[in-house]
Amino acid sequence: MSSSTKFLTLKTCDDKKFVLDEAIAVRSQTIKNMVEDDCVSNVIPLPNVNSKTMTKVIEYWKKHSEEGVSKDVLMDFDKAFVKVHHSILHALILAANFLNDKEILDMMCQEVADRIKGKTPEEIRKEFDIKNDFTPEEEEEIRKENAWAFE
Amino acid sequence: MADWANLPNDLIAHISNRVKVIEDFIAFGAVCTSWRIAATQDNFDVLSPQVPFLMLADGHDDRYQKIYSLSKKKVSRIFLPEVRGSECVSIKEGWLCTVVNDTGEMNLLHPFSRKKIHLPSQKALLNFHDRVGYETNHWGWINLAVLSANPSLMSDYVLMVHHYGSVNCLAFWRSGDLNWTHIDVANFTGGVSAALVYHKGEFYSMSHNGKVRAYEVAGHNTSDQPIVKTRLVVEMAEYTFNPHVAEYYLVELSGALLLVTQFVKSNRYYPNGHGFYNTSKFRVYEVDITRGELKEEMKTLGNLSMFLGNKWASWIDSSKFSGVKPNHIYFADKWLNHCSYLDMGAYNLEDRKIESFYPSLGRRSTSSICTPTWVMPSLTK
Repeated sequence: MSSSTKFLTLKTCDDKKFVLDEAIAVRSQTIKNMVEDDCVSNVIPLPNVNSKTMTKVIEYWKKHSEEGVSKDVLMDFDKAFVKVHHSILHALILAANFLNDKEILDMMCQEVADRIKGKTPEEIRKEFDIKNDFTPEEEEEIRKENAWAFE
Repeated sequence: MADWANLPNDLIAHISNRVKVIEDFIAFGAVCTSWRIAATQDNFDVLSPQVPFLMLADGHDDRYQKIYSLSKKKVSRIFLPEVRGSECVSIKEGWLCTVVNDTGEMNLLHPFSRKKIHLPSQKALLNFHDRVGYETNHWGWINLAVLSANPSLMSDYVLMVHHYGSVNCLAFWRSGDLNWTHIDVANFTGGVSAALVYHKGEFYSMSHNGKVRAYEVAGHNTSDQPIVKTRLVVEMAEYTFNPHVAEYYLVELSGALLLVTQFVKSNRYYPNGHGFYNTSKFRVYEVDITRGELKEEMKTLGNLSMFLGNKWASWIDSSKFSGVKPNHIYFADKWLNHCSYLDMGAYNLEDRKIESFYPSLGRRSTSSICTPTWVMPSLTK
């Protein structure tokens, strides 16, 4: 089966090249469409993804393409995979969205949702470095709407 | 640097979609403007299960109700002046059925948004079969109230109520109906309904004589006759007026119909002769609707936890929530004869022990706090 292995070259926005088995790279629906439409020349440019993020994505793809890996091992891998700084989480969400990899996108969005659990708005802002851009009037209105949830 | 506020709108919505607990969803929408825009109610999974709150009267200000969150182990308050001077029955879908004491005006009230849906009055409910009596010598209350669907989600739904008192009746109201429709219970011996539930398109009632009946209510827009078809499903002789059973609950659980019985023990007596009851145990059975009998007792609920109290019943998968123990029945009751006496606790099906879940109150209390009620948090437009 592996006799006909084809390789693709992906180029990230910081000009790093990644050579990857096509069978693995097509986990990205975006790349798959390009391959199917025969738009693939030598190098596939990924203008929205940097090399650091792409390394993470490929790490995920490879682990999930390995044969004979047990469910438990994959679950442990996923658990460790999402335990990253929020800036990497953010980059992975954008990358997964661009590459159209629903599996990674869902997993990352779930991780964000999990990190929100039980937190106040102020704690969430702190967790994700978000600036409170509400006017005092808006903030008052939001509080009023669901006063019970903010006590 | 990661800029979470400027993430594309559809991605913020994708995240907000995964925030399943209402309090978290509200916090999410209060983070920043772009997150607020994404956290619309359309992006909230309204069908995601929630842990019910325990609602208690606020001792200081009767325009407010206290709500206790099991997950957060915290009491907060909701402004709900509509409840003052009204009798309330909580409904699993997150609404209260309220009756104003003075006027008999009835509403469905959403406790978190204070949205109201007007119902035909209690007077209309009690004036049937030439029975007149609302004005004179009337006493009684809405004992049970059950919805076929959530009014926040569907425009077509049925509310079934059981009124107990000088007039004892079972009646329903379909959204849009001008009046209540009564179900003839004249032939029902021991006809006091002890439990009511909506299950697979039909209402089921259980009466104190151990009879489970099913009621199929025709849609509002059909001319089907009769409007309601009644049939007897199960007769359980062994449950006829069991003095140790304080309450029966019918619970819909993943397509199955369960019967939960709550047993009480009289511990000691007040000088005035009234008993002092404590919940001693629960028993859970599945009702086999087709064969018309109870299956063997369920010894465990697995990961599930139930919430029971004052005719209200629901359950959740405890593994998905913090602060809720698996295989426990959380109960909160006010025994009828003792308005000031609460019986609350979490019953462990494993070791059959009961522990307190409301720290400041302990298991029993004779404080002035009245009528603990489970309420389901929900959003409505």
